Amino acid sequence: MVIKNNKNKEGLLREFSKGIFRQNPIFVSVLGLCPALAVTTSLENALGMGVAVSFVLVFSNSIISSMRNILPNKIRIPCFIVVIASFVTIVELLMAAFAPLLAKQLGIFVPLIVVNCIIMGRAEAFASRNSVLTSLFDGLGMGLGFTLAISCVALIRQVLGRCGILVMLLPPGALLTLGFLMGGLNLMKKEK
Amino acid sequence: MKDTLRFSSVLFLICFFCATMLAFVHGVTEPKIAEQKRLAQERALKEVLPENASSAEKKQIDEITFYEAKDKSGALIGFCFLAERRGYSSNIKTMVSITPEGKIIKVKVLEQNETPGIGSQITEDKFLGQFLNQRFDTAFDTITGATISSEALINSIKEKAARVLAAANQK
Repeated sequence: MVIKNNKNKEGLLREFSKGIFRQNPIFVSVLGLCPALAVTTSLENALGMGVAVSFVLVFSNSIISSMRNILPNKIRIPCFIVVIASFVTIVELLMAAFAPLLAKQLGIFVPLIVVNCIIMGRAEAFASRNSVLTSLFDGLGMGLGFTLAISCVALIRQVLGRCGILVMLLPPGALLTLGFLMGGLNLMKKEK
Repeated sequence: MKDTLRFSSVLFLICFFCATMLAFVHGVTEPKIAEQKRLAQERALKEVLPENASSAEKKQIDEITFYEAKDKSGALIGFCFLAERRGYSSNIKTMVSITPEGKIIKVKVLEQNETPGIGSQITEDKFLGQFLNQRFDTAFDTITGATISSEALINSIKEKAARVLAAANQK
């Protein structure tokens, strides 16, 4: 029994940590690039966006996973979208009520979380096939991985932008930063 | 037929569940959001009010809304108003205060989402400083490279100031 428990814990930890490194949504799966490119002009925005996406991911993953046995296969996508859109609306309302400045900064990109491929992707590829608890940890890990990744991009852009390289704060800066980061990570992997 | 019924009932249940949840969250956050909006407006108003103002009263004449600032003795010392116009990539919203003679006291940018580093220079003191103590119909300088953003801000203020003064004098 003890051994089984340990195994379970390890499994959960694996599901959690894979989102951060092995299957990082931004650098490895290359999903959800729209917010990663658009809101990474400051670290504050990136963190706010990361928390919002993580919240939606955790809840949509748990709810979808708990419904996985009653969802008819043919209409699973509309069901996912209803659940995801509801949680995004909840985040939007909460943000407007408790963090109005952040809500103003992020603007249209909060409602756009609905069409973020990470969330849809995790619902389809993971939550609809795994138990509630593992899906929850998967959501947490993916959310954290996403937050870390866009914070990295935002930090680099903000620092370089402040140093006077204006182009880093404009859209090309986002693409350049992301490209170099991704290239660097792949290079590191190859050399291993 | 059987499938159709099953599919629609499942989807209905999910939608019903989500709608209930949303209604609940909306009920909780609605008063808070309204309060935040009011606070934001009040904060902006406070920031542009002339220093010796002790009260600001909301006025609405011919669809033009503005605030009348009065000092302790009740004498009129200025007007505050919101000006808004489409810039390069967003609506630029400013809160402005002017004296009854039309001299600009202060300009504060409330909302803008112009290109960072270029259009966003309209929020800097270097640009906004030129408005201080000038009549609203002075020819103000635009910013090199950010003509559309700065022109939008200048023109929105000029236009609204003229309309507010006209409305206030008419009374």
